Amino acid sequence: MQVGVQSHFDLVIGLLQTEFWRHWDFWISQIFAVIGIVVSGFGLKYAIRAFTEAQLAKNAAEQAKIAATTAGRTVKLQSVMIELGEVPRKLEQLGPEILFEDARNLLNEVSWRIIRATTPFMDDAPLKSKIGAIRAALEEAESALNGVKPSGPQDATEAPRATYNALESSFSAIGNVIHELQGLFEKQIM
Amino acid sequence: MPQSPEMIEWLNQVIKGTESGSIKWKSANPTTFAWDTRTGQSPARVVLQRVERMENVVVAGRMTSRKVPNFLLQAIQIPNPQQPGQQIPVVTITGADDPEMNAQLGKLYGLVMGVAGREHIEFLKSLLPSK
Repeated sequence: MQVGVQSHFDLVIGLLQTEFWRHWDFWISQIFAVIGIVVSGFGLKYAIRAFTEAQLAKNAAEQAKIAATTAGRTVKLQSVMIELGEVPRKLEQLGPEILFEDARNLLNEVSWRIIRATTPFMDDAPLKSKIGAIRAALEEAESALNGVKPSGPQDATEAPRATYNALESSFSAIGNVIHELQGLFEKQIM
Repeated sequence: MPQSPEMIEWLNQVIKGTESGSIKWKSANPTTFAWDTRTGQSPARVVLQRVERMENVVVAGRMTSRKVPNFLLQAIQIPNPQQPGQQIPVVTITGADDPEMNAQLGKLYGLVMGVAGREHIEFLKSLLPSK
């Protein structure tokens, strides 16, 4: 029994007296440690690359979104400009012989076209005041038209130029503001 | 363009005729009155209208627009009484061209409005049951 204990003790002493790097199991653990470090390094490298690429992709997506929004706004502005470009031609239909009913239909068409085109830009700071001005001009025209509403069917021919006289100034004001608005829209597209 | 003194004299005669009741105006629409008369054998019509024009003015250094009342008078010839729609405008007096003329036309318009207002009141009174 004592011999067994002594031999174990001698073995331990022998192990302690030998340098640790001389043991083969030390080198196995070192190899695994180095492999672990190398693998972790690669892992870290790819993680950093993945993060950087994800960041770049996110930035690119944001820029694409901004570009798409800008492109969409430009297309919208162009379609509004086309819509507003029709208005002066409509306004020219106001001739000296125009009758009340035709003038009313013309004003309705012009009003609806302008309202439809300008409503999306009501809160747009550079356009707000001009849109307000054109709405005011439309109200003026409507008020002027109400001022020449014939009392009866024969009254329309009694004062044949009354409708033209009443609306001429308002239509001219609408045309002026339309051209100003078109200038502002062009500036936004540039 | 300032109007001639003869034109202003003619307008003064129309004002007097309206005041005396020898010239009868009828309402064509809320802002227009017509006086049916004759020139030789063919009928004629004089139309008086109030229009509001937008005028640009500078207020406190800023350009703004305001409504300015202007008056128009148009003398029309009706060559064929069977076709009252066929009308030839012969003379047009625009108050916007001449402030003095605009004031005279405004005076006439006010007078015509007053007469029309009185006629309307008389008509409304006639609707009431007699006591």
